[in-house]
Amino acid sequence: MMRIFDFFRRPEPAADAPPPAAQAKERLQIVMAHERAGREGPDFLVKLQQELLAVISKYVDIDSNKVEVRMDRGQNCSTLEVNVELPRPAAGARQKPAAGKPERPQHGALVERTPHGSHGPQGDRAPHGPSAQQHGPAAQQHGQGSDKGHGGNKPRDGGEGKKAAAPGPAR
Amino acid sequence: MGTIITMTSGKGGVGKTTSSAAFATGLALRGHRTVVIDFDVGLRNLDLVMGCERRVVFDFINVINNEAKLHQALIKDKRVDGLYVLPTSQTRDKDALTRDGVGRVLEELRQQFEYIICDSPAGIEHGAMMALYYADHAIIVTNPEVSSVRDSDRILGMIAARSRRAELDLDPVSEHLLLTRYEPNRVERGEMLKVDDVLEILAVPLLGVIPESQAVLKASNTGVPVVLDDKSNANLAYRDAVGRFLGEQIEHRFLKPEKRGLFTRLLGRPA
Repeated sequence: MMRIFDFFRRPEPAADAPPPAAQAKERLQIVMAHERAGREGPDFLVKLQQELLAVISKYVDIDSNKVEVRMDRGQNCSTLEVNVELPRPAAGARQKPAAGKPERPQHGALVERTPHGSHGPQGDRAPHGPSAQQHGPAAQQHGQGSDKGHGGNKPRDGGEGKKAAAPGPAR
Repeated sequence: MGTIITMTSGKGGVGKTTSSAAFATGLALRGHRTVVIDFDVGLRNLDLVMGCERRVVFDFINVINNEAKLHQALIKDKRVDGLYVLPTSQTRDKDALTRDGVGRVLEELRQQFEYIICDSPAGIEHGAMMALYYADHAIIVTNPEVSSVRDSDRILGMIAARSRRAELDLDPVSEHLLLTRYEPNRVERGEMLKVDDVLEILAVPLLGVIPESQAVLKASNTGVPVVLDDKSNANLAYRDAVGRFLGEQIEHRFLKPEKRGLFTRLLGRPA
């Protein structure tokens, strides 16, 4: 019986996906909290990248074309991922001093906690992936040079995949 | 060498960004490597409509100013192969778009992409002029409404006089009309301009008619371009328009009110 009546109702959105308006609100809260925090200033990421590269260049010759910077802004936690491909030292060439690192490509991930207490509700929604728990509440800027944290730092992958796969309400 | 398509309108709020996102996604779905660029410096929104707002690191302006490499600023879409977004800056102003800088970046993109979609800001000021200057094709997004049609005519005049192709006396920019937010019911009742009325006034070849659709709001809410959203009429109309752009003969549909059965009429479901 229920099924016959269901036919006449508007299709309910998939149980795991919040309704579109709720998604819109959450996305706006995240993106606008970051914009209001002023950390999106024109020079922030540019300067950060330049200074990071300057430090790394002190120890290793790097190709500025082989630098990848990725950002994932979350409600409670954002990740900034900087991948720098380190070249294999030329045969016979001496590495720069103090470059004690192995020659395989190394990944570094910076995790910043962004307190957005003043913007919107917190904690009413599951975090966007495992990263929040993984890095713990005390992490101010933590973790660099370890491959360990790298894989888990892409909460967006899973989330988006799910969204794309979720059936929208039929019309 | 890639083709540059500018999505422009003069008037704001007619659906340039929605159409840019839908068109770029539609081209990529057909296997064409496509990038969509936000030219609305200071008021960026293409990132939201494409659902990549949390992943913006560097932007178009950083690349123009040589503060970042092009490949660092391009955001790869996670749903469709060969689809990329080049977001703009939210903090600078339109003056950051220099003609040489824009030309240099577009030239670099031409080497890597088949189609480059430029999502123009509203207005006829500097940002809009930079978005249309290098165009090979211009898609004029128009609503069946007096102010939109008049503004479209104005922007058509700009394309004919102030684009690079006009200045260098090359073949003119190909113009296409995309009529959006069309409501056949209201057209039928004589409340809204007909497709033919708009075509008669603007005299631009018709690329597509996109019916008013609830799917468009849902698409921007969720950051999923409307051509990926579901089987809505807007989705199908955009896919048809992409096919026509690629040279296919596809008949226009959704121009007449849908025949609604007794059941749907009684239940008041939206068309």
